[in-house]
Amino acid sequence: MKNLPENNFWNEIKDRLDHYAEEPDDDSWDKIAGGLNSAPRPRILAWLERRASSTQVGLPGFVVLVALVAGDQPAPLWSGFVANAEHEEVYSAREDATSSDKTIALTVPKEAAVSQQEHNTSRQVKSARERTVPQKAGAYTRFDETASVKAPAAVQAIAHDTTDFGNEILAKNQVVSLVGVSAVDTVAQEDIDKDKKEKKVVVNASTKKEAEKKMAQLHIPMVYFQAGPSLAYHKITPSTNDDVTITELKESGIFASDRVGFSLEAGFQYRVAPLLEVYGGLSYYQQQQHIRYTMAHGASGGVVGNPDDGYVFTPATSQHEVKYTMRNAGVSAGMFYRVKTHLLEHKLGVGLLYQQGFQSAAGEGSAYTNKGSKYLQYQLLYRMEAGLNDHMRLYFQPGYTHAFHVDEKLNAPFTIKPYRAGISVGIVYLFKK
Amino acid sequence: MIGSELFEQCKRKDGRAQQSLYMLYKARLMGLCRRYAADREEAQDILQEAFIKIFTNIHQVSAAGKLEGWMKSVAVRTAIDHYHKRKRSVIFPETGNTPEVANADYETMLDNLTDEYLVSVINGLPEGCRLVFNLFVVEGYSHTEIAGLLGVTEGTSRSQLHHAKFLLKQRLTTLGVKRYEKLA
Repeated sequence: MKNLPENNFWNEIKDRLDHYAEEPDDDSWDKIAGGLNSAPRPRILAWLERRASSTQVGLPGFVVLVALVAGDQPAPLWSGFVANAEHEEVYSAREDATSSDKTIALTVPKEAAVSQQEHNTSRQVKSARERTVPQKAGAYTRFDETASVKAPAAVQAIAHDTTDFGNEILAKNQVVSLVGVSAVDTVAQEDIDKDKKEKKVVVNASTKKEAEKKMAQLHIPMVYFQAGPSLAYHKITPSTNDDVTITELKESGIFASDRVGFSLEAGFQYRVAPLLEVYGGLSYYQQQQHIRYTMAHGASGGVVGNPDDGYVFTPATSQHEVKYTMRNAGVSAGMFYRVKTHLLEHKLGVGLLYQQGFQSAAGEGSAYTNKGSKYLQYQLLYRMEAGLNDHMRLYFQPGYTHAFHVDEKLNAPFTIKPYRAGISVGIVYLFKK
Repeated sequence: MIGSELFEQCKRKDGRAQQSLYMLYKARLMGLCRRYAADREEAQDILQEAFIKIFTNIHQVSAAGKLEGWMKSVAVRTAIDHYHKRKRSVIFPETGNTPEVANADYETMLDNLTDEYLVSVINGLPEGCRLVFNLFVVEGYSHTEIAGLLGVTEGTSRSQLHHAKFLLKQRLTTLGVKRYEKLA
């Protein structure tokens, strides 16, 4: 008795590993293309890129948040591979056909089988062919009764252990026959024929599974929540059908505190195409509004002059102010288009936002209340998104919101169309398995 | 085999050609990266870096026929770069006197393992062992070359390889394989 040379074993390993192939993630090319298009980056950006793509850690400013949510760690590789001593011996049906030959059936680990079916099947065909030659030459001794039972029992520990990986049908398709000594060519040929049939089944299953996987990735439901400050401005349009003239407007400075507003939004998001997502949700917005103005009206404020030089008529003027707290709630809907993936996922978005005021208390010195006011606005958004883990994504979203239809009863000789620029920070949660 | 037209277009940094080349070799190079990386996530990073290097330096390749081998070597070296970046966390285990494992019929065992499963077994090796094993057994580097690449001595490379083989056999054995005696 002599063992086979060990080199055969390592050559086999080399051959298998050298030809091993695995599909990368779908967005790999986007990342590579992004890397190719960019100029050499500072080290800090390279670090950010690694962080963003690692799905373990988010952006530095949100370390605490990340620490809370980035708890998912991959399970140890070996967790499912421990052999189980208790097992059931499985013999192929061919055992009955050739009573003197012990044909031992082994199932292949299912997890691996799902993605490697085609390759394995071709290997099985090859194996069957290779075995045929020494069998004909009588190079292998016949397994004695003890060996033929004991040996498969040991190997069956693997088969039993792998039943946890699911898909019974595929396991059956992955049956490999270790034909005993007196197996004839017809048996090997049957192996080949059977393998060919199995290959078709497995390839079909693989294609279907791949398609299902892509569909599942496409239609992952998501929810989002975002909050952020904004700076509000407005376009004032004087009323033309009255007899007053606005002579002066006094507004707060560009970055004055009373221009600062705050918004909250939450809703659903859904990927309808690889690069396209739609969203819809509820929104809330609050802001102080304070406008002081001077207006001249028809009453005389004084007349200066004489008959020779003429008269200067000065209309009467008065100062007023519009001051109120704007509290709006409403709905929003729109879509995002992913333009590129570099460092982060970059998305452009457009949307509509409809809000109604519900603040019933008037501001000091003003009769106007925000309640019942209606605002229809469009939004232009730019979202930069990074994965925190498999289920959570963090984003920064600068945005511009402009009202194009406003229904306010300001009791003032002008109308206002507000617009604002802001930046929101949000979280997306993906409902995927 | 990569067509010379595709090769020349990639040299001219044609985006479509680059994507075609990527599509042709993504799975193969990802498979290579998976063998060197501890997990799929790291393999993704290596793959992306490798392809960026490939497209950036493809002008160094003189002929289309040499491209495939060159691409593989770029991926291997990128994986080694990753290893050097994480070097502080990598420990070459003390191998001591590695005992021999009975030479069971691994061939039979291998026939019944999928490639993916086999790669997961390789991934389960300690990092130093895994690198040396891949470089020596699969890529065919010599111990002198491996020592230079990894910054270790030739002796370390040899002992790591021996230890890797021992661990690999041992793990296959724990999966349930027993001796199938055959006459030579």
